[in-house]
Amino acid sequence: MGSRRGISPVIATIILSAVVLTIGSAVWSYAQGASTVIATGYVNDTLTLMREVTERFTVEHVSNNTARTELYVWVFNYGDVDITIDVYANVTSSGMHTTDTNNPLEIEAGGFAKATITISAVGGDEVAIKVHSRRQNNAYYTYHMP
Amino acid sequence: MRTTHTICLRRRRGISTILGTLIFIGVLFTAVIPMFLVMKQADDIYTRNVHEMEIKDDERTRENVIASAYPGGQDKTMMVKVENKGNVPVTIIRVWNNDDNSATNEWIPSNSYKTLGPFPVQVEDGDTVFTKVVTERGNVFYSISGGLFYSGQWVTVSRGICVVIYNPKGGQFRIFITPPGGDPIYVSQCQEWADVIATVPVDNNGSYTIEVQQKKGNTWKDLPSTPLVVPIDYPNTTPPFIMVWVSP
Repeated sequence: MGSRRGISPVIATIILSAVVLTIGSAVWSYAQGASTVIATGYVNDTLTLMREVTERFTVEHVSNNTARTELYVWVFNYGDVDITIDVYANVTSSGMHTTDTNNPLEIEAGGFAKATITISAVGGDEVAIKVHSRRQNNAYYTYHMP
Repeated sequence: MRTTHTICLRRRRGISTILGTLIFIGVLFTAVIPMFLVMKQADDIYTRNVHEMEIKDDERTRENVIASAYPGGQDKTMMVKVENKGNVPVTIIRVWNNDDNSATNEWIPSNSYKTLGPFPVQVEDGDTVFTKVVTERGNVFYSISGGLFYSGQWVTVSRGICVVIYNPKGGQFRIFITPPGGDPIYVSQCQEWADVIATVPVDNNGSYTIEVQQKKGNTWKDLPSTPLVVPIDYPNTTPPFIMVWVSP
């Protein structure tokens, strides 16, 4: 009996240590996973915000066809990130027109592209043009229909 | 014996505390601190990019380009003289003549100029050509020569000199252009508080001496950069219309 008296404290210590290790490992694993998710989310949000604030584009040129049924808007992306845009044209005599919002225009960084809007206008109309990016930035231009 | 047993239990009881502490430190160093480092790095990248864009925006606002378009002879081509009057270099990436654009890649240092072209233009009799240039930073500068009218031939080519005096502090000025003659083409009648712009047509090619004077007390004194000689050799080497900027 004298020699067995120390066994139960040893077992108790082993069990306690095993419990601590198990719970600790679980906490460790959860903490790592959670921190990875949090960090990844934060980085993605930050990069998204960065692309939003560094997006730069302008309306470079506007023209129309002779029948005044189409408006051509050249947009220059002079920023460092690719952009996806929709173009809106508010014509004095016929109201708002837009490019196909289901098929937005994509312009790579440093590139420029022509957007075509089907409109109805008469000579002398003022056309208020808004280029709206999918990152919620805008560029404006006013065009007078010849 | 009872006393010894209690001491043994107390010694063993610290093992799980140590393990817990080790796990806590492990979590701290392998999960939390790397997370903060990654977040800090993302913040740094964001701040750096925003700062770079602020610099680019500032450079964009400091671009100051004077473009003057003129016909490239009697054919349907257009030349564009581009003067960089700003304090940052500019790169001209596109030239528009009406609805046609021509890609280019001309780097122009500050206080310098380049002549671009000839660019082909699609014009018919009665058309007017408007020219503008686009810089790499997204600025669009329209030609100061306005629309150029085409009627079988270019009709705009009267030669001329335009003198612009940058006048931020006010002053009284007079301008001489020789030849022809030597009479002042412009004399301030009183103190001017805005920039002075004086244009004079000239008949022939040649070198014209431009002298700009400012009244100091009762005497007229030449401005530091004048007299200067301006050649007009249209349509060979210069545009028909020359602009000169003078600063007191």
